[in-house]
This record gives sequence, structure tokens and C-alpha cells, in this order.
Amino acid sequence: MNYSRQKSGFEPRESSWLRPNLDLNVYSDLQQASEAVERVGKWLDQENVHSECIGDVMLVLAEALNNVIEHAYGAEKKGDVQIKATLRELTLSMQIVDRGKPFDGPPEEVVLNTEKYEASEMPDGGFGWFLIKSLTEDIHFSRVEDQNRLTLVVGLRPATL
Amino acid sequence: MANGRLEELMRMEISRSGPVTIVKPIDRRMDAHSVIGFKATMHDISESGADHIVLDMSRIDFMDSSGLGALISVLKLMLPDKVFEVSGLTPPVKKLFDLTHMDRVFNIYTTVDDAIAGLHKRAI
Repeated sequence: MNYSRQKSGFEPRESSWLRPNLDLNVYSDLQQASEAVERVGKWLDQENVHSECIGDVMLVLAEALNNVIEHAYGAEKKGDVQIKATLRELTLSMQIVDRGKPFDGPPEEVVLNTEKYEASEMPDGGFGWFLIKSLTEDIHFSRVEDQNRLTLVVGLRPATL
Repeated sequence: MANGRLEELMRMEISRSGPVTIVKPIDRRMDAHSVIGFKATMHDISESGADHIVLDMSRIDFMDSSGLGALISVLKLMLPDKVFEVSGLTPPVKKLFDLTHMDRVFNIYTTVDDAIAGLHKRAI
């Protein structure tokens, strides 16, 4: 299964310089996922990334890790999750690798249908992929041997803008 | 009022202003890790007789869809006879609300005082 998506109108951005990478290896539990999200946020703050973009990255990563924990590994199985973040001048690319159940890839269409519900009937879940797709510029997925490899690219701007 | 064991997962300050119960999470995050304790604690508060809860979110600087789902669960728990409102949304939380159109689901106030004033306006 391979999946690739670029937002309409998006042009890949080249940067003349690379800033440091951040590699994290976590166990698939919610506390470690939460700590990893926090760690990425602090790293981007040190790299002078705009606070709104840091929030976007943290939310995208949190949703992706929640999916891995809930769906790829599930309640009965735990495993390792690798996060490799590559910071460029105007984008952050995060590759998230797990060895859980094969993933079919991101849903092609994610529709937020909260407007059709009254509050008393509002679903309290199902927002994850909507948020990931809303806040990313690129999504790539591939299944390689026993690995799910999901790459998410978030647009950035410096804190001074 | 709240269950002390569950508060270990997400610490909250609970106070009252007239008929309004104000719940203020002390921790900065509402994510999948902390949300189970939050829902259980809010359930306890509601069951203890709180008919109108304002959640002061001014310290929450990160919330994911699990946190949002927890707020929806609490709202549905309290409907139709009780009131659950939110105040003090920080920019990242406000962005999450905006993206998911939750402004049409929740009464959102800038501050707790505004929420209480909103109550008083309705009482006039």
C-alpha cells in the first residue's frame, strides 16, 4: 500500500540549508507519546519556529501517534514507534514508523460533518485524520516489509513573522 | 467532590461562584494521556450536583482530538438539563475549536467572569 498526497497548489520548497534532525524512539503507550509530542514542541521552540506552527506540528504528531497506538498496535499489542523529524527552512517533515498491523493508508476523503449534528448527538471522535489533513502540506504512506511508514509535512514560518 | 485517585492524572482546581461551578485544569495539556481522568472527574462533579459548570481552559496550551472528544462527552453528559461552557481558550485550543466548528456546539467565553456575567444576563 502506497499513498501520496500533496495539497492542490502546493509547490515543494527547497531550502539552501538544513537544520538539525530530531530522532525519537518511543514505546506505544499514551504517556510516552505525550512526552514525545512535548519534546518535539520544545525542540521547535528552540529552533525559533512560530508558536502557531509549533502547535500545528504537535497536534499532527499527537493525532498520528494516537492512531498508531489505537489502531496499528491496539490494546493487546505494544511495540516501538520511531519518529524522525527533519526541519527545513519552511517545512517540518516527520516520518513515523511502526511495526503494527498493516495500515490501509490515510482515508482519501475526510469530511467534517459536525455541522449536521445537534450537540446532544455530536460524535466525540473521528477528528484525527481531518485535523492531520487540514494541517499538513504533504502526506506519504508506504508499507515496507513489516513497517508502516507515514510521512507528514507541515508548513512553517519563523517566530519573527 | 472529585475523585482524588483520578485527579492524579489531571489535576484541577474546583471553585464555586453562586450557582456556577468553575473547573480549572492545572496541567497544560489535554491529550489522549490525560483525558480519561478528566472525563471521570467531570462526571463526578456533575453527579455531585453541579448544574452549571464553566471549564476554565486558560492554562491549557495543547489539546488534541481526544481532549476535544472528552469535552463533547461532558457536554452530552450534562445535556439537556445542565449547562457546560468553556472559557479562556488559548490560541492553539481556539484553533482546534475553529477547525472543527465547535464554536457552534459550545458556549465559549473569553474569561470565567464573562461566563458568569453571561449567566447573570440570562437571569435578568
